[in-house]
Amino acid sequence: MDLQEKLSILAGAAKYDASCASSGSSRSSKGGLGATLPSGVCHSWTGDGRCVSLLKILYSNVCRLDCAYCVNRASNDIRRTSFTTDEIVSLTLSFYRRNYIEGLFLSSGIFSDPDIVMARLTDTARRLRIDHGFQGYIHLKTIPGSGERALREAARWADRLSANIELPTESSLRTLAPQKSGAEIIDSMRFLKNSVAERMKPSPFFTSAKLPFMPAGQSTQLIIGASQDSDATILRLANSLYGKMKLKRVYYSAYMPVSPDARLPRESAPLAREHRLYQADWLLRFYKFSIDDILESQESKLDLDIDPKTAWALRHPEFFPVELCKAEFEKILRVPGIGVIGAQRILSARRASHLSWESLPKLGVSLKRAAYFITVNGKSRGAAGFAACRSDPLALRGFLSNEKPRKSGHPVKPKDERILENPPGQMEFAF
Amino acid sequence: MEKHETRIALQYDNSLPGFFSLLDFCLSAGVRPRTFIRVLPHRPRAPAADQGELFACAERDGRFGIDETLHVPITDGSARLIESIERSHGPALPELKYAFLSETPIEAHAVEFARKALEGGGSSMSDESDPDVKAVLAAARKTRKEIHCFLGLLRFEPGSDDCFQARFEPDCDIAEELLPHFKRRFGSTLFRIIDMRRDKMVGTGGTHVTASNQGNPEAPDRDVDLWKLYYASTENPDRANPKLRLMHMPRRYWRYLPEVNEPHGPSEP
Repeated sequence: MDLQEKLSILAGAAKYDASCASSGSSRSSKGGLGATLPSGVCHSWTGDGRCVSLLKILYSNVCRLDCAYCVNRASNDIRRTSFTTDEIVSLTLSFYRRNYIEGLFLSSGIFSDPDIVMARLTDTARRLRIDHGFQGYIHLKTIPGSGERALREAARWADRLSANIELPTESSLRTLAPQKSGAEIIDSMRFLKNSVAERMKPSPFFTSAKLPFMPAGQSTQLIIGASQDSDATILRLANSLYGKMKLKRVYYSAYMPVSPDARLPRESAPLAREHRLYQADWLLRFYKFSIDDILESQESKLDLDIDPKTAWALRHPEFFPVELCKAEFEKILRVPGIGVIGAQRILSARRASHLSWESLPKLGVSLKRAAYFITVNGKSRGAAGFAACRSDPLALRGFLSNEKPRKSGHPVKPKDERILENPPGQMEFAF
Repeated sequence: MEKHETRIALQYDNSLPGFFSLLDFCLSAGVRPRTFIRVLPHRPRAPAADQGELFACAERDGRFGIDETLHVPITDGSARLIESIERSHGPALPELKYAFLSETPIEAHAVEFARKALEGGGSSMSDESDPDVKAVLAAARKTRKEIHCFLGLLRFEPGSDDCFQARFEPDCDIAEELLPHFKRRFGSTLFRIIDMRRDKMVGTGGTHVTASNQGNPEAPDRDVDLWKLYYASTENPDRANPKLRLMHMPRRYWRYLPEVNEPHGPSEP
């Protein structure tokens, strides 16, 4: 098989992995080739609007596992192939010099013993670093079942390591990916997290902290809608991964049927659900929201018609209106239509001069949403004020939701109710 | 009898030191300019302008009605002003520099912005409800945004002299600003960046392009073909969202990108 065919197959097989970030690492070429920027760089965007930052490929799509949701599952009748290390090194360097990419994202099917597969990936990274002085970004997948030695070696050469949990409960994994173990994946995350902490400890003999050791940390991916796991389960897991495993990112990928299987839904999961999970994830990481803020009172799913921040605001009329001339930063952050940068600009502007309704759009505030929840110098904005709308919360919800208001005033139910329900007997991962 | 207002055009050489000399001149002389027009040789806006020089001049009612033209030379005042702003409010300096590089008519706002910085700056320098602050910060943001875009969207091709070269036509004058990043990125590999609009070249591979080293754009290029194949393989029709792609990657950049500007690339949405 020629290189073109291999590239087409092994890039196509890797496209379901949502991660393509090149951020979190800072390297310089030191006379070789390549450098990384802490913020990362996007070099193109795919037809679905995703950033192309890395050459994202599989080493091989030959796989011993038979995960129901995966296009590369062992029982799928597809063309199988593998790159050679030389081919990957050459492609990476060529694309890098053209400024097509920031580096390499290398994953693989489990074509052999996990340590052997991990060693192939690591060897590719090592050859790029040592033989070619490559200082671009390298993201390696950790192969489930790899030993500690193999993981530690991968972390030496990669900027980021990731292990995809894919399904948020042990019970879902048992149903759809019986050869995978969530506990095993979480153990590998814990080992890497502890290894980083160990290297940061001061030593009288050797400062290992100065040597790169996956400087961009770890990430993972969860498939949304392949199992019946609820948004609450997914967000609780993500929150634990951020807090206890110190993960840098959790990616969410809406399930898409790639091969027929009676255990799986026949239709794709709504992209809106994926979008809402990313919004909720953002609130957890940057807006000081807790899980309980996002999903209150036994709710198990996010509202598809309204973003989680607005949903919280509508549930908490007692919090509003927020007086922008006096409120502290955290309180301003809770206002729909005001982001982190907008809140910072409001604080700067009110220190320098008087805030006015007219000045708010110049500060990046979306009045279309915020107007219902704020006062400026004690004044609401006409009929848009929250107080004016409080008497008709359903109408206010209609103004702020994506759906067109229905005559009944009630929101449309999500299309795929079945997979959003919280099934009994979920076995969430223990940390 | 109607009082005649003398209209003076202030002219400078469109260099950064010239820009700071102009600001120093206005601040020292207590001049509060109303409007500036920036005339650039690669983007002429005023037929009456001297195309050999770049200058800013006062404008009224959308037409030139200049009584007098005063050339503001580069003086020591430029360095002195930079030093003074550095002392009173250092963060204002990069904003002024990037606003200047935006090549938008920013001078009138920049004079007021510099005046505020000299008066101590503080939180007023980030108060975007102030029109001068907003204009300077917006112009600086435009430059930074274009720099950030071209860090990713500049495309290099090998010349016949072992030097990788990229051609582009940015709105802002950013070739010099891209240089540090690509020096770090290319390491020992030679490269040059060519700003076609301003006839400017920067890089480590010499700044002179000749017929012998410019490469042959018509020749088959295996890397380009592989890249296009790779890009096509990442497409996921079930998730197609052309609007989102356009938001991140506006059409004006597509001519630099082989993955989308070829006959076999994605069609225009």
